[in-house]
Amino acid sequence: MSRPFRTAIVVGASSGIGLALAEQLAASGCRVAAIARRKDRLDELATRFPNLVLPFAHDVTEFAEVPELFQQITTQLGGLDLIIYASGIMPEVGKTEFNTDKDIATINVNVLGAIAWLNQAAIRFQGSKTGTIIGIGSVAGDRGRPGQPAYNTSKAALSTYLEALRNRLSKLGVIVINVKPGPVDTEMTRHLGFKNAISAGDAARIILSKTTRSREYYLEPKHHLIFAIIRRLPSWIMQRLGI
Amino acid sequence: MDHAAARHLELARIRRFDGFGGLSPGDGYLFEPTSLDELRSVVLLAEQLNVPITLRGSGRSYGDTSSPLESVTISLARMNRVLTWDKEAGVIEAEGGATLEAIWQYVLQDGWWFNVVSGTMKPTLAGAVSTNIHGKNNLTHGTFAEHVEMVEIMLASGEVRQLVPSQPEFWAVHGGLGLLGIVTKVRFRLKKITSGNVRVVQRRVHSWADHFELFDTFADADYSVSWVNGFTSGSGVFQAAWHGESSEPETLDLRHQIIEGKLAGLIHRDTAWKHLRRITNRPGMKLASALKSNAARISEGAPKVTSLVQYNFPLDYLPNWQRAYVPNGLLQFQAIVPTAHAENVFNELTRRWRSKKIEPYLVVLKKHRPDETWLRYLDHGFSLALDFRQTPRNAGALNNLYDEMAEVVLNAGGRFYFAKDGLLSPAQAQRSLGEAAIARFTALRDDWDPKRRFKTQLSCRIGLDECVQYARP
Repeated sequence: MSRPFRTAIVVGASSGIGLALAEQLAASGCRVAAIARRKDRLDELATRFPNLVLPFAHDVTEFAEVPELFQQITTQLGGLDLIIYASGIMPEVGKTEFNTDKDIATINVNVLGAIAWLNQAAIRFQGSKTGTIIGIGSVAGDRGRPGQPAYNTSKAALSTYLEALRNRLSKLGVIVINVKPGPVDTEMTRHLGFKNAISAGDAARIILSKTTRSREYYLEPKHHLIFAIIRRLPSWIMQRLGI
Repeated sequence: MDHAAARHLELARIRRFDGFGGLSPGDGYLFEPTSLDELRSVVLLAEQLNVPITLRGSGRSYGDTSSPLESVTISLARMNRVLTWDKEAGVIEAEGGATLEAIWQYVLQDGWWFNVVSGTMKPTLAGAVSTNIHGKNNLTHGTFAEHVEMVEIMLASGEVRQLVPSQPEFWAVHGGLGLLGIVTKVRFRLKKITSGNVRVVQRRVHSWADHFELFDTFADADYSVSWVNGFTSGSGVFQAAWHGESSEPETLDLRHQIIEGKLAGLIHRDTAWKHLRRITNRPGMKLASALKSNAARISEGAPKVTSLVQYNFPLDYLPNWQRAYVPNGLLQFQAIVPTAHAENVFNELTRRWRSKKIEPYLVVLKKHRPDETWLRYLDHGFSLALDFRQTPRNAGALNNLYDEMAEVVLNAGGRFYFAKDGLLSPAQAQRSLGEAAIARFTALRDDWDPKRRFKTQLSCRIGLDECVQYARP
């Protein structure tokens, strides 16, 4: 780990990359507030890391709860060095399906929940002039693709929001990072049957090793080249390729 | 300020606070009330939300004395008025947020100066009371508390009390580390002077015993202090100073006192720390210490006249000098050792830091007498104040050295000054203060602040409070 964190909040800590991040932070001695809807999973995590993991059951779409809960958590942690927003959903969407309920849910969790939590962190870090904000984005935010319109939109929105935070806060000494994983083997993506997916644990290790400066980066180095090309492809080629 | 409906603290108030040494960071919600009523409403807000209160002066304590734990952090920077000034009797009354700097600039032209003052003019009166500051005349003039006529304090309930020296609690508030309440007002005595200058004499010294002897030889001096070269076994420079005796009204003028101008006509004092940073390392400080010893050889014997401000506030001569101790910070250690053991203890401490090659870059020696406060830190003996540079590489070894040195001091019946400590363990702090003193102080807190509203990282670290929020770094 490139920076020793003493206190952290991980939103979306019950599974996938969020769980792996919370585990690795706690294993390094960091006090972690683990946030998710599934309390039983958080309790299990807290049992494995007594006094280091503090579980908080919360639905990230309950935006109004966030300010009070955020303060309750930072008080119990005794500070805040790092916040990671790892909550995300990717509902299964048929190739011809347009489902507004699923899309709203995706935007609520992936974007508005992130804004609700990271705004609190931004206000705090703006005052203390220190702190690290990490958002778990995705390569899926780079282009609008036929398979997951709302998911692509949500990750693009998160990326733009984090860029704005970075441009506001970096000059104060606050680090703002958007990490864009490709295929990662998690509960959320398992139904997609990814080949060559990296494990959530490996993803978390990479994320925690790159926390010393504000930036946006791809989790896997090969994606820098691949997505440099994909970002520049004209739409008509995207349509032909069907990606 | 109406906080009645608040369910949580306004997040935009959060600030990062640190000790002067830069090694005790903590975040708190900053409140800067302007009146007793506003102050009371902040205290009651903390009660309503069940949040601790940490009191913050100018942040000149080296360690965690005023480092918050997500607390309501109260600064009296806007309650800093001088309320009354009797220039015939030399008695001044001011709000707790007034700084020593503001006070001397107020009274000097009338021919008055502090009886007791710290090596920096930046502390607030509330901070000076709470850490019961001492100076280079502790042996003759005692601590700040001995010159205070009245101290006003707001308790956790919002009640305001005025205490005078005949009340036992007066001696608990002084040196009470901000854990009993908020010092809102202080009335204290100053001393008459006729000159704004002091006459300084220096002597080169080659052993701890020589230092001790010179404190006796110059017992008539108004001030006495020794600088010790940490790279040697006790050699250094002893300094004695006397107030100017003749009437020199022009030297009482602020223009004569204010430190300004460039160093050697070249370097702005405000940015000098950046240059100092280049030599704040082992070879640089070894060389600088040797040069300082040699410079004293030249000036030895010839008295030097300097202004009161320049003499009394050496820590303000180079603003932000502590920033030269990057990347981690400055770890300060100040122990007070009974006279009978001082030579052995100081020799042992020197042997330990030299064997580890972690020498303090500044070593200051003073002579003391006991203070009368409940959390007494002074004794008949000598104090040694050490400045260590902490780096990522030496942090572990330095912390071990600190622990070893603390044990040596405590085994000799020594004490520690908490304004300058950042690392003592609860057991060590208890040995320094004594169980009876802690029990008496705790009983008063039980009475005045049963819910332990007033807390600091220090009070958690040394075991005076149990704090779920506090994780020892």
